Amino acid sequence: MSKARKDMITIYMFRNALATLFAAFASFMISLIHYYQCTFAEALQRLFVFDIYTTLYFLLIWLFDYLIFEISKIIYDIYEEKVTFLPCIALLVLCGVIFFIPILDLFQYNLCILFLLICLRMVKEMWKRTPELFKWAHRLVDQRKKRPESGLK
Amino acid sequence: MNKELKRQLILSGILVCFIISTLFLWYNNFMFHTYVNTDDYQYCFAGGNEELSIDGYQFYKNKEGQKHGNARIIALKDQFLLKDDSIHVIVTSLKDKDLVFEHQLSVKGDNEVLTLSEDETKEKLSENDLTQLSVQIIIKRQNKTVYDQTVPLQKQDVYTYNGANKDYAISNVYVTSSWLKTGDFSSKIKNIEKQYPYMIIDYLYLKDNGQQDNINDYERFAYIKGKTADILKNTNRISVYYDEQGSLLDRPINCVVTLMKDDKQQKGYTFMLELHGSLKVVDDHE
Repeated sequence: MSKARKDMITIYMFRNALATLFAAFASFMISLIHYYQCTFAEALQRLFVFDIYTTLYFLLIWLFDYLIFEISKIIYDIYEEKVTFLPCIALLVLCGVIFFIPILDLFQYNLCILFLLICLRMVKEMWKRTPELFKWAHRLVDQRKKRPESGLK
Repeated sequence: MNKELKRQLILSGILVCFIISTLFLWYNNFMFHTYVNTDDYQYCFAGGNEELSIDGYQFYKNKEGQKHGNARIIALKDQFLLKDDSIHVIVTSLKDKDLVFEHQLSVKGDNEVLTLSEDETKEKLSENDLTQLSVQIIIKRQNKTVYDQTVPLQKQDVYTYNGANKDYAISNVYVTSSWLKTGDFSSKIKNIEKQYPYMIIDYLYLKDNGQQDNINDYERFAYIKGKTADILKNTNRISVYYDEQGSLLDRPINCVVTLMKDDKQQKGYTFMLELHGSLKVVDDHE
């Protein structure tokens, strides 16, 4: 196996960790840039160089995100057969509702991105495991494919 | 439910509970260290010619208001400024000729080091207005103008220094190569002003060839002394000037904070805060 391929597999193995890292990082950056009205580079400094307590809290939030993501995976596995689009829609609604709850904006951004990630993963799993839920999508794709052919002939 | 899945779920649940409780416990500490108050803008200008040097002309805006001035004027020649001279200082923006800031002062002794007054800025300033400034200095002696020169003022790079330990923080210390403005002191501990009614904050820089770990190798060049309650309000910030060789930005700067139960410097609690960060102050503002 080539080295590049091995690296790709390693990254794929850590995809959940990386996705949740992105959620934590993006929410911290948005919150800091919003609060200090500063550049990306300054927010980066404030997050990693400036203060150890900020960095530690960032790591803690990442860990929290990762655990919530794992729990969502376990719950999905439990209810695998009964899964519909409903939980996905509920999560998307929660993404919006979270901004009306009076908590620190950092948590709002973080939970919103986290819920979106869980949603994405759920849709991906449903696509793989219960393709019958996506009949409409296949039909749509088929129609798209057919249309130019008939048009040209 | 699968036994394995159940076990995983319980374990993750317990871990999440731990993390959430830690997040709650650390919340106040995190807020104290991450979201600190900042000033809206801070500029510092300096200039001079063969006769006069003007340092630390400021424009700043913070929660107390928008102000300008507070510069130091030194005569570089002996007997250049004499007792009872009156000085008229006019600072003009080259970009916007309507922006004029005037200061009037009188000399109380020969060769006196003068400090300009700090006045409220009524105009709304933008970054563009403050790119190029010039200062006109008119000296009158016995109602005759003896000196009238215009000198360009150079904008200096201003860096923000911060320092903190778990419970105390000093933020928004502004430093240029030759000037320092003391920062805001804040504490996470409630009622600290009752526990320690008096306090001193010393600003020290490292002497030439000094050891960074040795406190005796530091030179004290600014201090704030007073009631803790007043210092916590952060209204008594002072500007000091660095007249040694080289740049102040190249020297490590530390703060020594002494909290005292009375004003006789007894039963004090002293600790040091290393200032660092050196973020360049965001220049652009609306």
